[in-house]
Amino acid sequence: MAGDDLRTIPLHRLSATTIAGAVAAQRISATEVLEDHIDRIRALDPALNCFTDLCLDRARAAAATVDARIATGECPKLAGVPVAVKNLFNVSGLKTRAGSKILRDQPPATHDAEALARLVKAGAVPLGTLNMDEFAYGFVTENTHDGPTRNPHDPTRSAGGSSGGSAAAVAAGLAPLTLGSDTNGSIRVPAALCGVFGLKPTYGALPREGSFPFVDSLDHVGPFARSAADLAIAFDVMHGGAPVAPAIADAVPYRVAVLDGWFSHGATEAALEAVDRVARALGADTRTELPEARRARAAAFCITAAEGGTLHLDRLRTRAGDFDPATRPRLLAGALLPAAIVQQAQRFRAWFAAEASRLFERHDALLAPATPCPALVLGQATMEIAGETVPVRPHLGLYTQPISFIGLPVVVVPVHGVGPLPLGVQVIAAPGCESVALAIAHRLERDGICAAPVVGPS
Amino acid sequence: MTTPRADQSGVIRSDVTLAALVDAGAALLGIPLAAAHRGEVVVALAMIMAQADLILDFPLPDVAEAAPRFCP
Repeated sequence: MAGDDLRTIPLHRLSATTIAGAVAAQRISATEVLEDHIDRIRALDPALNCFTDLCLDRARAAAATVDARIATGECPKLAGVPVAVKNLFNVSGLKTRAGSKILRDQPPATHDAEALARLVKAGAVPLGTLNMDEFAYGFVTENTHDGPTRNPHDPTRSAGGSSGGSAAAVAAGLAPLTLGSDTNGSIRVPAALCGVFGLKPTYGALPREGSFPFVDSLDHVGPFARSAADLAIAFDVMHGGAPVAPAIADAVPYRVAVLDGWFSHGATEAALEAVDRVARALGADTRTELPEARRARAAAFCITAAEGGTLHLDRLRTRAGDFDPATRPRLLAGALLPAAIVQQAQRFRAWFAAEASRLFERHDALLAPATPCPALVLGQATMEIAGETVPVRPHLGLYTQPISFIGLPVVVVPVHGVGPLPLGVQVIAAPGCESVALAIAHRLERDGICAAPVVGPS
Repeated sequence: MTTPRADQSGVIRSDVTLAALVDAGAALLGIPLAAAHRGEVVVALAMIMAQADLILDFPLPDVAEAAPRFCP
């Protein structure tokens, strides 16, 4: 981007990659970028409620440090990129709430979570922490203690969850890069409903140290951004392995299929149209089935309740009344679940993973809707899935749960124009193949099929 | 949930069964369940059990091993 454009386009509309390049080239300073984002947060966040805590003194010091590093000839990959994290990541000096009232009794964190520390080391500037469902158990970010995060596309609607603050902040231009966590869909659901890109990497690919857990065997951390290239660079910085960013523009022909069966069960026409639009653009005319995906979702559902309930058992014994009423009953019920159910779910997991790996012998990537429907109105308690009325909070992840159950990497690509609100499509790859999902997302972006424009006033 | 349902083994599961599990489980685990919370826990347990049925119904060979963590 030319230097002149940097003066005519508001800095909060730039991608992380563009900001880093411009700061590294000293066309703009990290401090200028930060102050523009602070102005944006002050203007929009009182209505959206993305942030729960800001660390602006630290941010200003960090931006000044980045500018000083640039002046000495350093060229950090994320120079001056503002970043914010779901409030289950430790941020030095802030209390790690995990969306709860209970954890507010804890002292502030003394160190950054490892994923954030790696971003900051690469020049990112930490802004603060973001709203979420309590203890990450939900898909709506309607938090009793901190209030709901509103969807920037329609403030009467949910941002999705549980990383709703992370997705909405990126959509509204409050930060070009945020971190969230995904146990059953908590990156993919809000990315889809807020119309931004989100990456749930392979299980274990990114460090979870310093993030508050939910379900050890299912927890992933990952980034949100407004472009596939931004996801790729953030992934590379946090992963530290062979970089994927340089290869996402390669013209590799991928074998892509659309997942059928469970992944169209109960989906709205708009959700299916979003998948069709992506499939057509990729020339993906094959449909395939991931066998028993419904049971995989059920197994993840049971494991989540049981592991989550066990994790919080002491707090349920002593402070049940301080839990969010939306979270408490599911954690309590999970703690009481007979062991045979959990063990059978774990045995089923091995069977299901083997079935999935057979699919990847024939396909490089699989497509599925991220959610059955667009963002729902705040406070909506039930929705209809295939003619059945079901509660919203546990059911928005129908199509995401079977995939995280077996740890596969997924990029959610945002599709606009299939209705008044955005929707997301999961681009699912084989374990360790984030580069494939990111390359496909990049291709869709380049071809104008997917985009994540900043929402709201300039 | 008010309608008793039979699982595959013919056992009738009802609100009464679930409430009994909630009461016994809470007592065993030392959770002092408030009366105001009991009903919502029974509803949540019913929802989880409906999902559990899908797993318990699925035939797995005796040699099927558990995968408590995903290993690529």
